[in-house]
Amino acid sequence: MKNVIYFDHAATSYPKPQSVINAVSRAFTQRGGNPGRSGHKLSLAAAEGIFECREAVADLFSFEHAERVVFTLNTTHALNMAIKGLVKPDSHVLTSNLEHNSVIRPLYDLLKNSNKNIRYSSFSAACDDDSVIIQNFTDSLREDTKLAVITLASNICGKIIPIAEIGKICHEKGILLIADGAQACGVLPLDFTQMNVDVLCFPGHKGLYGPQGTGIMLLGEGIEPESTIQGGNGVNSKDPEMNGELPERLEPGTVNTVGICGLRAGIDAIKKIGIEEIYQHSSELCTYLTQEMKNIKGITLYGDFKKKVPVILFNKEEFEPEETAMRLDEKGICVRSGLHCAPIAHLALKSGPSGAVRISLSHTNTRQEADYALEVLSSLKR
Amino acid sequence: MKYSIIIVSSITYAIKAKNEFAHEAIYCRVEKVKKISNQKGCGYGVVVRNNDLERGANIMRSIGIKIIDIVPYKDGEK
Repeated sequence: MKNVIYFDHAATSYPKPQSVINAVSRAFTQRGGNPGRSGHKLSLAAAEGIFECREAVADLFSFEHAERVVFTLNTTHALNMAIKGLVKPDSHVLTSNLEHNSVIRPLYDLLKNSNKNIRYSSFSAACDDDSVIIQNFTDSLREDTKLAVITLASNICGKIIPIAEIGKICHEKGILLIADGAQACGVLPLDFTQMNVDVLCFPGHKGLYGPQGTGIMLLGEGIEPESTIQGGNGVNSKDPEMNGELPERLEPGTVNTVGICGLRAGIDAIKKIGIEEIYQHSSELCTYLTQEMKNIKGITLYGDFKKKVPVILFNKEEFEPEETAMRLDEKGICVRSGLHCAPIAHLALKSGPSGAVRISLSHTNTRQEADYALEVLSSLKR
Repeated sequence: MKYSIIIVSSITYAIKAKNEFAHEAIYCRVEKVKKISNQKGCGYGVVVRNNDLERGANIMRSIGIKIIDIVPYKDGEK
C-alpha cells in the first residue's frame, strides 16, 4: 500500500521484506508437503525448511540447541504452553505490572479454573530506576514462589526490564523464569544464555519480520514443560500420550510451514541489517519524536522511560485515544489506540480509562515520516 | 554396496544428523521408516553406507542424538 506511514510495529511489522514474500511463495510450490509425516520429496523438503528455521532462530539468540526451538502459532500460544506446562501445583507465580493479557489471562485461568491451587501477584516495574525494579521483584517473592513470568519490554511504553539481574535471583532461589519477548526479539540484541531465562516466548511476525501465525518457544536445557495440547505429531503414533523428545513433543498438529519458511527469510533480512543497527536507528527516531511531541500543546506522554524499545504512549487533550488514532489514519498514519491488551500496564502508567495512543517504530521509519506525524499532531484541534 | 538405517526419534533428529554428516563427508539420505519399534509406530531414519555406519553413529551420539535402532537397509523394505 502506498502513502502509508506505518507506526504500528509493536502490533506486527510492516512491510515485510520482499525476501519473506518470496520465501512464502517458494514454500507453497517447493515445500508443499506435510513436514514429519511422510517420506516423499515434498514432505522432506518441508521438514528441511522447518529445521533451517530452527537453526536460524537458535543462531539469532546464540543458542546451541536448534531442537529446543519449538514453533507455536504466536507468543500467546507459546506463553500459555510454557506457563501451564511448567507451573507447579500449590505455588505462587510472580509477574510484573507491565504485562500483556497473554501472561495475565493464562494466570487468571489457572487461578480460577484449575485445581492446581495457583496464586499470582505482580511487582511494580513501571519506573526508570532498574535497581528499584529489582528490589520490588525481590520484595515480592514469597516462600511458595516457584515461577516468574516477565516481559522483556513493555508493549505499551517500551520499558526494558532488567531481566538478566532478575533471572540471576530466580536461579539462586530455584525459581523458573519465563520471558515474554514479544516486543524485544529482533528489536534488541539478545543472547539467550546471558538473559538468565529458562523459557523465551516470542512472535515471528513482529521484530523478526516473518508472517503472522508464527510464534516460538525457546526452551533452556533441562526445561521440559508438560504438553498442554495433544494430538498427532508424526512420532510414536501408537502411544496415546504425547511422549517423546522436543521439539515434536510440544508441536501437535501440522506446523505453519509456509509461515516458518517466511520467518527464516525474515531472520536473514534482519541479520543482514544488524540488530544493533535496527535498535540504534529506531531508538534515535523514537527519542527525536518523543522530544518534539513534548513541545506540542495538549499532548501527555506516559511511561517516558530512558531504557526502552521504540514505543511512545500518549494522549491528546480533548481527544479520546480512538479518535486520535482515527484522525491520524485519515492522514495516512497507522497507530494503535486503546488498552493494547494490557489493562494492568495502563493502570500502572495512569493513562486513563480508555487507554492511550501508541506509536511504535522500526528501522524502516524515517525522520521525514516523524516530521509529518508531528505536523499532523500539532494541527489536531477541535 | 551395503547400507544400514539409523533410526531416530523424529524427522528433526534425522535432518540434524544429515546436516552434520554433510560436514563430515558422509553420504546419507533421510527416509521414513514403517515402525521404529513394535510399541511406538512410524518414524524416521538416516540411511548410510555400512562403511560409514560406525563413524556416523558416533557423530550422532556426540551431538546428543538418541539412536533408537540400527538395522540393515534393503531398498523397498522401509
